[in-house]
Amino acid sequence: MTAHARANVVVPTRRSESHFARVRSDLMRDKAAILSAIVLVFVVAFVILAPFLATHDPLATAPAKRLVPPLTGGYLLGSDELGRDIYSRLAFGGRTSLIVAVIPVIVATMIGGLLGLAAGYFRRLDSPIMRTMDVFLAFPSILLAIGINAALGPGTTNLMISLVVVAVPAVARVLRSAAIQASQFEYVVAARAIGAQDTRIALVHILPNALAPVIVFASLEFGRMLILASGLSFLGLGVQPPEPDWGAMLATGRQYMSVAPHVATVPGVLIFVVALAINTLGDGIRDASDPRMKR
Amino acid sequence: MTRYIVGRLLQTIPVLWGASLIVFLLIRLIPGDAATVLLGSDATPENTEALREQLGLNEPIVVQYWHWLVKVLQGDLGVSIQTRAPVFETLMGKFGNTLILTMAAMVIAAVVGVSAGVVSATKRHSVFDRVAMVIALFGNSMPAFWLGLILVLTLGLGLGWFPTGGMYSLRGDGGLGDLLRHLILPAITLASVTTALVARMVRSSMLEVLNQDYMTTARGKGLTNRTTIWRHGFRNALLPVVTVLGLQFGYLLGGAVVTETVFVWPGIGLMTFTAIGTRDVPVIQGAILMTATSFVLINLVVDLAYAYLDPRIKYS
Repeated sequence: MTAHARANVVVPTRRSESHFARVRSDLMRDKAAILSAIVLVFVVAFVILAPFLATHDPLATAPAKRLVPPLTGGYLLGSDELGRDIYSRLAFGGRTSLIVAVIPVIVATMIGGLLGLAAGYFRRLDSPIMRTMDVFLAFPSILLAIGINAALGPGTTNLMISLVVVAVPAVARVLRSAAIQASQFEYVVAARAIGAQDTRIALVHILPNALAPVIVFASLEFGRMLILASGLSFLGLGVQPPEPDWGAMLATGRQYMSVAPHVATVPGVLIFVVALAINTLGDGIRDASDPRMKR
Repeated sequence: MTRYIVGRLLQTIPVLWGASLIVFLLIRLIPGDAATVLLGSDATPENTEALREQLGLNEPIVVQYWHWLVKVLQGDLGVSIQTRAPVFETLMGKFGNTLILTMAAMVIAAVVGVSAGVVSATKRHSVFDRVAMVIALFGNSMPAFWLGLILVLTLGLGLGWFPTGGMYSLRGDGGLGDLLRHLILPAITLASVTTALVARMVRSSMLEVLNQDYMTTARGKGLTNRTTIWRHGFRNALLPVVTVLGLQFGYLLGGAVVTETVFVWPGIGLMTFTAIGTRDVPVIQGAILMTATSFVLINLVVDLAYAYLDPRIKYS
């Protein structure tokens, strides 16, 4: 029994250690991925340190200094239609923009992960769960998010709820197929043979071994959610004024496109750079964790 | 083959039914009394009661759904809260415009994405390959509304090459040339993400195919490089791409909301945007249901086309 227990514990741990160690060492050789990670660290530091880095109150209006171009009048990146400092609003707004992308991915990964695990391991649940997920996948994600967010009412929390709903089905699919693969391994048969309960097998033996593809998938979802969330704020759902948010800033700046293009373009640059960094890092993680993907 | 077609057709029914259920339930997501919320604070009690009656909120939910479903199947999606116009008719009037935009984006994505992908794969690690893949990575990370604004700013407002919005000029003749001039910028904007995705996908699919034995055989029996790549390589690499293009159609229909908003393109996306502003939930519901239905039906057609293209499905 001791030998059994040890075999059960030691073997997967060592395997997963070497797996993650290999992924890490592969990732360290990927220059684009490292550069992206550095960019992300800087952006996160920028929004966390917003109170220290901001030069103005992000909500303070100055009617006399409306739509000032960048690098003039003490405004690093110019001012918006109410004379608010764009640089300071980007720093504080980034907190909202990043949080509304990150939290839905985490929550959706947990919910979708459990659904996928249940569907992949308990075959009786497979059809009901996955057919339901298929129905959600029949909607273009932005439209489903618009519908839920519009019905619940505009606002940051409702935005995140709608993003969770559209992100869950794909996670469930990814974890389901990984769980089906993992449940065919010998140690699962062995665990069942020594009388382990189904829930225990699913959580202790299958879940850890089916997690890698989900982590890769989730890392790429951050970028998609960032763009989707800013898109919804752009449409007037999601984050509401006067709360600063990159997508909402871009939406209001749109009306001043011909007189002060910086109001809309500057927040867009930031969304683009962050999404690019997330996608590049996600690609790097995927290539490193799946050697077959390497080209 | 017949079994496959019948099976695939039968799969579509529960998905469409489920989609209708989700769209129906959206009105139930409205916190509090839906009729009061939708009409705003200055509505009279009579108006509120009338809307409650119209939305069927006084009945048990199962009865509500049944009545709603029967109406939807007859092409009745209710009336807009704002304009009192029938939703289905209004949406149908705009759907053609959205299809024009979506189809144009699809053509750009297919033509540019596929050619860039094939050339990148055959000239792997060349300057073209590197540049194309960097552009593809950029396209995949660029929010469409931002790209749209940049295009309006540079090519529209700046250089004046293209109109910045709408579908026809006020003083124009309303002809095809006028339409195309208005179509180019929104179509490029909408196509950007899909083009990037297709290019990356075709490249990796092509690279896989180029290493196959039958490619060596084709080259070994003396076929020209061009015949080998297009006749033997491209055809096989195309199969997964067909599926992706079908799935991307849904993305394009959804992305049309943002693109139509930026370019004031008079389709169902712009209608959805207006409805968001006035919280006209029946219009939003109608637009979502119509889009989801088209998406499901297009995927059905793609899957059937796939079975036709890939003999392995036909004979299994």
